[in-house]
Amino acid sequence: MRSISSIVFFRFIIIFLAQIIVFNNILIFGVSADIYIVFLLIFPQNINKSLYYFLIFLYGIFLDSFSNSFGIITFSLLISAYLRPYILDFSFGNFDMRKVGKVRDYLINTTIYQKLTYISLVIFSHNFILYSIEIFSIYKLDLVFRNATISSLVSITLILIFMSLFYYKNER
Amino acid sequence: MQSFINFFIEKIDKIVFLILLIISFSFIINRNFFQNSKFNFFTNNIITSINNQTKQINYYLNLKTDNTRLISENLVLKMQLSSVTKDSNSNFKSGNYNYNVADIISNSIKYSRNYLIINKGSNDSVKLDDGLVTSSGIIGIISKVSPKYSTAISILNSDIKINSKIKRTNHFGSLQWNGKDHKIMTLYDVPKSANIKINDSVVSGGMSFVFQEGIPIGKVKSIELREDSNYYVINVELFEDLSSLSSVYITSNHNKNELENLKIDNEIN
Repeated sequence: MRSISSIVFFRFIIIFLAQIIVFNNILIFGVSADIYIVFLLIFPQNINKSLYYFLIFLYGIFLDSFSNSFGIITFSLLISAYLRPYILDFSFGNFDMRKVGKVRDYLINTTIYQKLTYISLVIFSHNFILYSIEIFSIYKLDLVFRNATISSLVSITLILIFMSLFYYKNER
Repeated sequence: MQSFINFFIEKIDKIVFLILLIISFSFIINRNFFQNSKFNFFTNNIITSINNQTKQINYYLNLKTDNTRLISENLVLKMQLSSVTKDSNSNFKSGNYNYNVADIISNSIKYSRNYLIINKGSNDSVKLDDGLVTSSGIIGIISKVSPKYSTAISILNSDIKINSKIKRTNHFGSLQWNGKDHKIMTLYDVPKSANIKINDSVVSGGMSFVFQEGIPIGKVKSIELREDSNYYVINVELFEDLSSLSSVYITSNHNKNELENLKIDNEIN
């Protein structure tokens, strides 16, 4: 039985390397393809909250140092991490939190609409905070919306593909 | 006291969250934390080791474009050589500038303030405010130098303006990026009296000490004149594709200190 910490560590390394080596070099419609937020989306639920924030912080710092972005990914990932439990509640409302500990169960046993709500809410909030902090100008609000929307749509598509590869109902 | 400690234990998650949030916000505020902290050494070593591996693959993928780039650069140099032999005076201006080659370690174009890291530092006599150019464009300006590496502000950074001019008419203006398309920059402050046409080429102006005069930057793509303004807003299409760069030249001006002292003297008097 693999422990939960080894699973998190393994995901940390794999998703991080995939982002900086492969996806940082790919541009789709002029925006780079971001998949790093998968780490936050499938982060285990019943882990210590402080540890959860700290791991997300560490993950953000690593990503920032490789993409020359000086802390903006860390900042917006932390805020998304804070919002995530509420978004989980909102999109999978008919699930009892204490019974279903794993995010995996959320992602397998729910309808596509629930999944889509969850993924797109997390990603939109993340990208909107990211670009508003990065551009940081009220006169360029159109640019914030434009960048956040394009980048979110690209990431949502990529992440849905990713999730359909790893999280499916085993019907055998 | 007991209740205070209880409060602390109860809210520890939120306190941790707030502390981490403040730390990350402080990173954003002083955007140069890489160079100032010990963290820099650690990350730069990881960055180079991982990037050197991926670069090996990228080199092979880029061989074709690099070759065409070199051929066109060669052609330009040959043409310049032929003009030098006819008129040896035309080269005296570049005598003030040193050129050096560097590889790009990391580059980004996805934000509105982009930076790049190159693998030459103060050990290779890179100095603050040196320029980065290629044969077909300006790339950036060095902003931080460490012994082995340096960070440069990319021209795709909406905080900097580059002095440049229209080659045909010699009218100058300042070039700035609006954060949308990585191939389009905007040239401001060219007066209405200038007779500018589409496809005029834009080169670097001679008013900065960073770049040599006359480095090609791009060509005029569209011209806009607002009704209440006396200045054109010109969209310039860059010759250089900043998303696929692998190596650059570092230019440094020998006489920059002298020129800068002169400028300060003028401002004081």
